[in-house]
Amino acid sequence: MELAYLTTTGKVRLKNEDTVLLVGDEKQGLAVVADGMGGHAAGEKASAIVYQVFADAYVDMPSRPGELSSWIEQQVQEANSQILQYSKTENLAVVGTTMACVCWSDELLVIGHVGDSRVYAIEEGQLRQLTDDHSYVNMLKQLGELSEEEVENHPRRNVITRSIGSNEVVDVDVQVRDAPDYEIVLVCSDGLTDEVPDEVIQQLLQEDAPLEQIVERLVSEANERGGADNITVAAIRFKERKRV
Amino acid sequence: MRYGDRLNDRYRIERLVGNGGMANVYQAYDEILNRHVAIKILRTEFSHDEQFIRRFEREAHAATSLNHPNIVAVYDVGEEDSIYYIVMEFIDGMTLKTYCEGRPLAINKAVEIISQICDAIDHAHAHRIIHRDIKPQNMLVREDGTVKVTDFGIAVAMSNATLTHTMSVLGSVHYFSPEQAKGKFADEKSDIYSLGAVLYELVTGHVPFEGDSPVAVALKHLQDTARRPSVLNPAVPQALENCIMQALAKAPHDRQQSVAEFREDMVTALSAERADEGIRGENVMEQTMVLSPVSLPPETSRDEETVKVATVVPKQKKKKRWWMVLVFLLLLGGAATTFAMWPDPTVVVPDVAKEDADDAEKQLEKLGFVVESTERSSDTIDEGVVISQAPRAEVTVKKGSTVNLVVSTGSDPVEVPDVTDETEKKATTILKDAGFSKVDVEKEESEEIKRGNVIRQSISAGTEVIAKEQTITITVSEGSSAFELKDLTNMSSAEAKAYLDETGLDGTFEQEFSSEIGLDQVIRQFPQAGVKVEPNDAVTVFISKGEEEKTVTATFPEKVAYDAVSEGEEEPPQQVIRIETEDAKGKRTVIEESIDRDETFDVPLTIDPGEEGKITIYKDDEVYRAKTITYEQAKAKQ
Repeated sequence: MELAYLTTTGKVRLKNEDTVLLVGDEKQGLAVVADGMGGHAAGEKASAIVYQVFADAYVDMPSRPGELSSWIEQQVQEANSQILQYSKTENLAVVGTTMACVCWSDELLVIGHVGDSRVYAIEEGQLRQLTDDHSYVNMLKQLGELSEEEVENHPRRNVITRSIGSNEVVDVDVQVRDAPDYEIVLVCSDGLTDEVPDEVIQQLLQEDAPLEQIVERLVSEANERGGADNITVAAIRFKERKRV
Repeated sequence: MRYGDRLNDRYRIERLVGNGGMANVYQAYDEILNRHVAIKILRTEFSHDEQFIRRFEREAHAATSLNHPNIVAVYDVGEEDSIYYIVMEFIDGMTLKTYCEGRPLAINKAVEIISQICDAIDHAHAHRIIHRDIKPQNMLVREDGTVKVTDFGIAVAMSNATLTHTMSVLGSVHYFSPEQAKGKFADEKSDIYSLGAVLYELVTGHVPFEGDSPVAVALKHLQDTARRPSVLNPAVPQALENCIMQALAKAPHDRQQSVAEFREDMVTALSAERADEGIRGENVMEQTMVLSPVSLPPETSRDEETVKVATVVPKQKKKKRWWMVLVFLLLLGGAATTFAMWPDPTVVVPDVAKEDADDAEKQLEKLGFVVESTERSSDTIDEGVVISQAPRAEVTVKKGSTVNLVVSTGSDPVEVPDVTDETEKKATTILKDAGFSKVDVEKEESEEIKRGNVIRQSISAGTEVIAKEQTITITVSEGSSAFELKDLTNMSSAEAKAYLDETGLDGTFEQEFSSEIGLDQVIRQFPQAGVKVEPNDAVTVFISKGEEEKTVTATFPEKVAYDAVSEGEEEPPQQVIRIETEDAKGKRTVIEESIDRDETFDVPLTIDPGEEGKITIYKDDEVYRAKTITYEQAKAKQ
């Protein structure tokens, strides 16, 4: 098993408001990416809270499917109330963060997300997006009202419909996979997916190289294509690389 | 901003009057012009988002070109210490949202309010400014009944940053058009849709589409037909309902062609002439099909179908009306009502066209009409004379109805259109269309305006001129003097400074620790290398101040001599060595042992940057040697 992550500011933004946490081994582990928003230090603070809450809770991460799902939900609610508290104290109107996470324990894999940070997997040689963005445009797309092209050109494509720290209660999407056949799992912020098309992500993920290098290539690809936002990538390779 | 704060040494903040996701609005006092103003201040969270700021300023500047009694005037746009603000006319009143408190207004009142808003939007459209965010929250009602529209074009100034819908970005979702929901470009027709949605709310007390989330509402704008207003408020006449439903048509081309046409449709909807109007347009089919499916013989052609369906309409309507009257009588008991269906005294509208406007007004007021007039230039009709009227002459209307007059302002001083940011060719065409016989073109460098587009015009938009006699000059962008910023990493601070000076960039130097980059060399820069910049742009350069100073722990070998045994003594004397240290870990004894020959002890010291450590060596409880070690010495020893 290999683990690798990288987060960068990108080429346009002044600060990095993303955070990433990646810990674990074959037996169990956790990957979390958060993409904060709001001016001043607010975005950084919000995503840092998500990081800290998960990092602190990791030692008590359970291993049973039901428990693992509610554990993720608990951490998200905890982060939510801390961020709300923070924005109240600092009198900020615009604070929030997305979150995408993957927890694994033996054969079990649990995915959680809020907002437009994503989880992908390579399964039988194919890239699959495992999360559905909680964004205005994606919801309209799922309802058949927007085409892929309309989504890409929509002026409100960056408006998300769920975030941590914006409401009293957050609705987290949690999915449980029992013994999935994933070669690689990727957790990332929209700084990657807004710039790099899925085909290129798939191609890079399948390169015969150490995971660390692949992660670096993903990030530099996003930077070369504009790097308009912070770019964060966390990857887990569950299977041995196939040597040709 | 707090009470008493001064902005730009001129505007004294008095109180916060409103706050939104993007900006706060304050009442302030302009100490130069001695008047109250309203100042909209962009929330500081956005003040570092350059793209957002640029659009915010551009749109606000566009709004300053609008001068109309129903538009909140924008006096000034500025920035001070990263506080971006717009200074506007102060309106003592409330928003239309507050004004109607979710209840339906009297039909006449609603039409009167929207007709003022139409005038404002029509004026903006004539200047090629689309509002894009028409909603009751953006309309202010003054005590004297004047309604003013605000926030022109601000909706465009949305940032690329990820935002949540709670940040009021989708706050206008109840009023935005299907094409806006789909992310298509919003034009005049979008504003007509929004006007229809606001009118709908004023007469029914409900927005056209309600839903749990912005997405749900957006979806209804795309898919559903709004409930007919008369279902919610039976007082809404069919003609007005037709006007509203047409404005709310999904396809822009099915709506009224212009705001002026919408206004005309709305105002005349209350006239007696249109009192018996049936359900309009394609909705006839939909509506009737839903209410009473008509089974048709299979061979019936399309044309026949339409005819057949259309004949069903009056029956349906009559039935509905009848039922409603009954309910209303039951609800209201014997109370007097002023509903439209109750017969009112009527009058015939006289013909006042070609008459002097003042005379026409007096004549109409004498007959009990409310007169409203709009001005328009005309080559054929003299100044102050009525060009046209609505409703037209000979029509029978209710007493107290409004008559709209279009009054000539005489031979054509035209308002100069805004051509900034248009292509040179389009700008020239627009100006020639407006009557300018001569358009001069000058070129200039610009970063903000695209190459080939107009930066500014010699006569500002909105100015009234006799175009034929004027020469107007437009300044067209030649593109920018921007260049790619060099990679300054590893340069010395002097080299970096020389480069910034030479290129005219505004450099700021920041010091940072670095373990990789040597002292006084550039660690990183913002913006990064390769980013397009131009003279006077700010560049921050981070200079290494060497490795970060951390607490160091070093070991000092301390040699202690063993005092030789004096002659005649058998037993060597006890020589007990005790070493005490005082450092970041406090004062403690680190070594205590007896020696019988010369010995070297390794004494560890932990020292914080700028601090000192002490070593004191005792031999048989007497000070043998004491020394002080500085942080630098410890670091060198490491």
